[in-house]
Amino acid sequence: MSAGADKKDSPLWQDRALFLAHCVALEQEAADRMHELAETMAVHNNPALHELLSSLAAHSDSHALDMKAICKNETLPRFKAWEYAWPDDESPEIFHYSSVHYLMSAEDALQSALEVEQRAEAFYRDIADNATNPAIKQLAEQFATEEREHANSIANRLSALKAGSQKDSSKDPDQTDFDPPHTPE
Amino acid sequence: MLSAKQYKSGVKPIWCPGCGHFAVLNAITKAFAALEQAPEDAVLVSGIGCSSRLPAYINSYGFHGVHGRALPVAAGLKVARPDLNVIAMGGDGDGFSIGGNHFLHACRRNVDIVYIVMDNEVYGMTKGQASPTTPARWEHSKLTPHGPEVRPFQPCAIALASGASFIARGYSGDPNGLAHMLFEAVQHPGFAFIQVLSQCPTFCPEQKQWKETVHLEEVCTDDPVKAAAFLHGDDGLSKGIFYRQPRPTWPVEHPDTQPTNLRKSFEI
Amino acid sequence: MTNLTIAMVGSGGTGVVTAGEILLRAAAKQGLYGVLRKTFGPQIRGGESAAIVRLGSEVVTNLSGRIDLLLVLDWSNFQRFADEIPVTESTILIADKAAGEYPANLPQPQQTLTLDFLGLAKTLGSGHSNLALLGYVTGWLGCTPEITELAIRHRLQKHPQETIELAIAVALGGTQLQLEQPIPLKPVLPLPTHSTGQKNAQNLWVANGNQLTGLGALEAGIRFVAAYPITPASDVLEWIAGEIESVGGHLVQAEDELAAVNMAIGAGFGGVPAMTATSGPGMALMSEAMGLAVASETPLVVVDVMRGGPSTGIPTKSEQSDFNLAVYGLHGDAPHVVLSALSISDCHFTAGWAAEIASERQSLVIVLSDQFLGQSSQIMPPAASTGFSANTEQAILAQGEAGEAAPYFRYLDTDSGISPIALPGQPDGMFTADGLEHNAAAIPSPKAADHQQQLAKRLRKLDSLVESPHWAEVHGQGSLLLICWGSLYQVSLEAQTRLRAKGIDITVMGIRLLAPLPLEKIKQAMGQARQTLVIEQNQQGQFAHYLRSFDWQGLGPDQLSFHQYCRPGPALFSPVEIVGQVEKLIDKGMSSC
Repeated sequence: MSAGADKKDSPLWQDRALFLAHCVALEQEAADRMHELAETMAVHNNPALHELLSSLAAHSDSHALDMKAICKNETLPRFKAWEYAWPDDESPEIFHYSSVHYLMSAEDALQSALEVEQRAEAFYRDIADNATNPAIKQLAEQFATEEREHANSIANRLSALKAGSQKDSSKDPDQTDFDPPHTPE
Repeated sequence: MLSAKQYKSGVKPIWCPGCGHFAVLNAITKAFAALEQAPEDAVLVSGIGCSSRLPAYINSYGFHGVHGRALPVAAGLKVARPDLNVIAMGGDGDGFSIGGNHFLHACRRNVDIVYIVMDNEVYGMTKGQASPTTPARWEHSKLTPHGPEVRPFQPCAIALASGASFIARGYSGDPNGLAHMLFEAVQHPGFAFIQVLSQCPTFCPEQKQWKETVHLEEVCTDDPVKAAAFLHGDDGLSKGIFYRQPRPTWPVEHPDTQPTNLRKSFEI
Repeated sequence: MTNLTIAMVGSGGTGVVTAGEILLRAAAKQGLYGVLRKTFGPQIRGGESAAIVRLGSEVVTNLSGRIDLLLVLDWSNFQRFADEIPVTESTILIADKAAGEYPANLPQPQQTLTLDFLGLAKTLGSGHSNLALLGYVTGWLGCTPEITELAIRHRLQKHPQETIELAIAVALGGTQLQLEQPIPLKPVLPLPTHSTGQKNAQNLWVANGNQLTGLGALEAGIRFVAAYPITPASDVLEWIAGEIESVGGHLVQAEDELAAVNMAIGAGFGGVPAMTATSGPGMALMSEAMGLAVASETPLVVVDVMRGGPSTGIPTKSEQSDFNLAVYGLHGDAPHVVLSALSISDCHFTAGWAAEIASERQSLVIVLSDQFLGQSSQIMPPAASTGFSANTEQAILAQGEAGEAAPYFRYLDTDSGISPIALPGQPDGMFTADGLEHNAAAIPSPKAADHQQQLAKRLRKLDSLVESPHWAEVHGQGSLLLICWGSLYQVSLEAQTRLRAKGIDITVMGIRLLAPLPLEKIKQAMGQARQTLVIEQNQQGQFAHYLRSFDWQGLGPDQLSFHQYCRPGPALFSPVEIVGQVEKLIDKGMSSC
């Protein structure tokens, strides 16, 4: 359940250690989720999506490592999963399950990934705008900018994909399922 | 102290990309981390269906039984081994169709276990038939081409009427909230029922809408009448802990039972 | 052995069954042995009922198939007992004045006496003619009034004092009546003298097979029982319910048989020896879960107290028609153990053995008992301690045996087929038990190699059971081998004794281990006899069919085939019936098959 609905009282604007704990969790959860989704694509034998999501997961991994490096000399508070002050139910940079389908195209995946980065940027931007603690403000600005860069990089990949696909983007992609569900049990 | 990730067994789930059951898996690991659950002291008991595969994906003991019978296995295990944290789970078909009778009696008995039903309103594993919670006009199954044309089962309302002492509904789009419910459910002394709206992207792509329509109603009453009024008026898309009223668990221990000579009753 | 059979018949609440129970107890206190069979109509109460008591100076295990003394308080619906209470001209009949008209189609006994039991009871202020009847019989048997009184006090212990005193008075009135108007038959039993009788009686039990099944299970370590009531198995569960808490166990009443068997599996998975008991219809429901126990290698004991089948069948009568269900009734290739109790007292032994096997082999063990064994009470010496123990320690994974370096494989393929089992609570032993086929590491697998390995292992782990000395009881040595199982064993032994008196020797083999079947031992015994006769109480010879299905290499043509005599219930097999079948075969000569 989200605890950050009340803008006035967000602890993220005041408590540096708490803020950093959220940043670490945000990056780690993003990476974990991306890996999980990449794995499902491997299990369901969609190598293109598996590769794409794996590459996105790898980026998330390095962001997570960077974040941990920034915090390496900090003692951060530990939270139970539901105690984080996310604006929504899940952390901002997470790829929602509801945007995933085994027939999803690379474009769909990149589009959703782009939205993920944009949500992350908005999260940090909001903190940067409202933080009362100058250290937080500065970090949040920095992280927001980095998220903007991630978003741009994905946007570029998306454009390149669209351009290179030779498809008329106004037509719907072929949704024929050549491997419809069967009965394992 | 283990992290949530360390509760995963590493066996790769067979679930489809986007399956809501991943959220439940993650929620269980997060709850276990918060509870500092010793992996060897937890047993996940399941029936048959996509969601019933879950026990193998967690690094605790598991029992993958037959269709509809997770609750009696869990009850027998908990009565015999009250020291264990026993969590029963399965899908909506497993729990409310073939398992319906066991569901009623489990709610009534109040054994100290948790029961998670991953409700995607369909029989996923067998290729998309309607289940007791499928909407009446869902026409995507060959078995019921006109749709079930039967009012869907209301699991939380039935749980309440059957005597469940902890009733909650979670949503796969909110794994953290679900983790919290599980955290509470495990600690609740008695039978804790959690229905999880868990999207099936393969057979029910329309459930994507749940992202917009599921809404939080943290009713959390201990008054069964209030709970009943809420549940009967509920649109089936509320999430939250609805009802919670501990009552004596079962079996009742009889400490004044004296050891006896088993053979005495035969003597003339 | 000298013995006699007394039948007491009544209806409309006359209480002959109660009288039968008291009679048995009085006889026990006198130092006699006996067996009591109760038989009822379908009404919950008040219907026609009968108590058949066979008494003897040595252990009595079965009925004789004849009635020596018939006492009738009420003739209504007597036709229902025609099979079980065969009235002949030599039956001595004592009827109450109020019993009504003698049934037209019954043979006329040569000796009849009509007495006013009801009138006697009424003069003493009671309506209970059964007690007058009881005292009449105990007096005739030579039981002392003190013994009659003790037996009544025991049976009526939960009743008010006045009721008990009145009952005793009525019974003693009956005893007095016997002195004045005796039964025209001297008791053929050499009754123990008072002091010898009392001495014997000190060590005797009265017990039925269902109670003894419960005792055997608890003494062997069963500590979780799930229960769903069904005739004639409910008594097993009810006896256990009264005792299991005192040994630290639990009995839980389930909502149906499906729940009961799955609960027992849950407990077994947790390392607590577990059991349930049912009859045919319940067994049919439980078959899916029994297969789960086999596939997941979870210890489980299921007792089937067989009744008349198929479907709802004849719930209150005995039959041996669940053999096929027990042996073949699981889907897939699902080897498991099937035992049969060979007598009322053997219910104790077999239940204990079942508990031990289930635990040791991590498997399903079905115990076949039947309504006759389960619900007939017997005067017997105390059941011998068996030493069986559902002790899983042998097969349990040792602490520290598995870990990072050697991950634990729950379904490890071993020479014996038995894999060390980790119990929940043990660190490093985590696994998910599965009904899905799996590999040695307990991961679900559809692969041929894994399926073959696991199937072979689950079959192999039961192999050595056929070496057990408990596989059968074999008695005597003769030119004909009589093979039977379950409640027919004791009847066969009596047939054997009668045949010996006629100069005919047979070997009687009562098989306790039905699956896996110790085929070599049976072949050996068949090879030593000139003929083999298989008898059982079902329509088409289910066990005979099973026996015929095996590989018979090594036996000569004479022994290759065997004869079978089978018929369904509800009538019990009698010794005379078996004698007749054996004599028929022996008359036919050695060469006919």
